[in-house]
Amino acid sequence: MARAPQSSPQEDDDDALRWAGDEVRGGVDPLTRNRVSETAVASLDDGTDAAPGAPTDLARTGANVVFAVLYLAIVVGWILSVQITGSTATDVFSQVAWQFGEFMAIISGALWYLAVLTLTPDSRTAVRVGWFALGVGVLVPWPILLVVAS
Amino acid sequence: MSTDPKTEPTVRSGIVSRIVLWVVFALLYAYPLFEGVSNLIALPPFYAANGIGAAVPWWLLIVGVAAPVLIYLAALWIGRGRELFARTLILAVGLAATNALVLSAVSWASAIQPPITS
Repeated sequence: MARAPQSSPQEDDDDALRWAGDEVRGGVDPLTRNRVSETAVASLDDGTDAAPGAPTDLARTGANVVFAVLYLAIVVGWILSVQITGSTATDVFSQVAWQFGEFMAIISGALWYLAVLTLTPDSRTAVRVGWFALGVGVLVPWPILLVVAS
Repeated sequence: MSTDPKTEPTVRSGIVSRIVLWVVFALLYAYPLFEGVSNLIALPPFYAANGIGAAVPWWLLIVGVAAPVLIYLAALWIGRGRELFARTLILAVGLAATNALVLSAVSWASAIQPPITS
């Protein structure tokens, strides 16, 4: 059975708020005067401050970048640190275990950073920053800092 | 009460993989703990024999023993209820942090050790 096409309530509203000849006169009808187009909203969302939620995103991205630099410094610090530390053990197992420990110390910064990024995707920015800050405090490459300070 | 035969093997394999993970990482955390205990036992007599027994860095020795245990337990606690990958990642981060702390403690002990005059 054929059914006659029916106009939706949205289309009825559109028709009611337009005047015939609006386009010809170059005027702006009441419907479109206050409407924000979807493309405009989308363009505002591209990292600009005016978009809704942008300050949070900006803070989150800023924290990610700042801590990425800090954690990179930690990795470099541990690479330098393992050059000045060493084991006095003579047996193979102890030497291998010590070198494994040094390797873990070197990658500790990268592991912590990636773990925070991976495990806190939906957490508040403050929570993520807290985990980042805790890692920076725990993973300070003291061996090289103590040598530099002395 | 009956259990679903399809889900039972999945649950069992999940528990097995979790136990394997705990045991493997317990072994990996054991070496830093062994080092910490060794230092706790060997360093005070060494300092005493060299006339600097009053300068034993007890707080570093305690950190060396406590850090592997506390970080392992913390990693288990943080990882509870998460999937296997997240648990593994958290335990690996804890292991890396433990090793970094142990190396830091050794460096601090060397840095604050009084000169031995013999």
